[in-house]
Amino acid sequence: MFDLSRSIHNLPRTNKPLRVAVRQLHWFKAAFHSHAMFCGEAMGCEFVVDDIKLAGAFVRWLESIDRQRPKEKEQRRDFFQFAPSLVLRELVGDLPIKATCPPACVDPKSAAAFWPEGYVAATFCLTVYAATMDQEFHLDVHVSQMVDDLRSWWSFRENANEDSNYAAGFFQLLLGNEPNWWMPSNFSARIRSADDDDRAETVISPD
Amino acid sequence: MSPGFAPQTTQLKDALRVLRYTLRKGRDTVRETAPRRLPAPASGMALSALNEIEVLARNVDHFVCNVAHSVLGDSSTNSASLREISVSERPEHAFSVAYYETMKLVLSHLGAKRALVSQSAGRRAFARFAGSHDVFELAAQLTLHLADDGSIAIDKLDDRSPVTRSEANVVAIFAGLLSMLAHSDDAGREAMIFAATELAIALQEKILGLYHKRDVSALASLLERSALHV
Repeated sequence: MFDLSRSIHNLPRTNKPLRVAVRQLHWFKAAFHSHAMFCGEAMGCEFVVDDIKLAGAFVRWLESIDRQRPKEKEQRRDFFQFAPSLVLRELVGDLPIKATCPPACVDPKSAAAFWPEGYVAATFCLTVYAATMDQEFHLDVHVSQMVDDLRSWWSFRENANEDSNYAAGFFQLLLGNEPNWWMPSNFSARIRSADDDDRAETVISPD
Repeated sequence: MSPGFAPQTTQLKDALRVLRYTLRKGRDTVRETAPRRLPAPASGMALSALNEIEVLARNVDHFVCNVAHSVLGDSSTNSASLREISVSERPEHAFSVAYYETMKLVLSHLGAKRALVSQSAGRRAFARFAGSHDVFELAAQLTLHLADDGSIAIDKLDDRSPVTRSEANVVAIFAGLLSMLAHSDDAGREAMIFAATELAIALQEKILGLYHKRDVSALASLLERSALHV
């Protein structure tokens, strides 16, 4: 159901590069509102956006990328790919959006109907990310089929309610990457090593 | 309007705004208390008096708006950028106009239902710190000074406001100055002021901490960093 290309075209125009615009609240806010309206029309429901919560998520995201930004230039693209995970974490941690009624134009068993607010937040991050990757690196972003898989969303919502860091890992799954579930919102720990897997098994093992 | 006449017009505008503010405050007080507390005949009289006050308040409101915008108006002053204001012909006056217009929007966005902004206080503050060479340091000094000298009176704040009444002044002034430091060629002035206000709300703990420490340098640094993200 999710149409990335249409969603990208719906983003507000800016004279600045998207990597700059997205770090300015007036554009971030306009883009989020525009995406919420776009999704609302497609889903058959209306969303109310809390601008104060949105600004809070935006500031926490900026602080988080400032803390984690790598010094090495070679890691710039990887960090570009990772940064939207942190946006989703902050949005899901204190959702700035609420559906005023259940979506009328989507399958009741779809991901969008199951968690409309989470769906808007995640697809917003995907949209801005894809538009930025195209502008900066001329790369097409391919979103995993699981974006419309209800079971994945069920797991995402349940886990993210307990720990919003899970949202960062879920975003990486949407991009087809395997996140490090121990520290899904930590850039320097994003690549899981075999040792990590061994340690994970040791911790999980009842022996 | 001659430069020498400008301070007097600013004071006159402020005096008219105080009159309007006081009248609105009185009207609201009568509206909120008298009809409910008085017995039946007196209550009717109070409602009748309230209608009279409503008419008077509306007339004063129109008068103040007309005088402020036409007779005492200054069409040449329309920049809200602190950098541009600093190098303008009459920077104190330009700042006082921009400060007043900006704060009206900031306060309304913060949920201030009834507030008074002193344009003269903005003028005096700018004259005092205009020698500052760094625009962010100037903004930090203005924030501390304007928050302390009662340039804003918030009489009524919405229950759902994200700031408390005691902290609203500092957050509002920081937001106003932040919007004057931010630049955008793809967003309107109002959108920038609202974004600056929302950023200030999100940063209010930091802002208040630096305000209480009187840390000009750290406040200037916060303004500089934040201005990139409005």
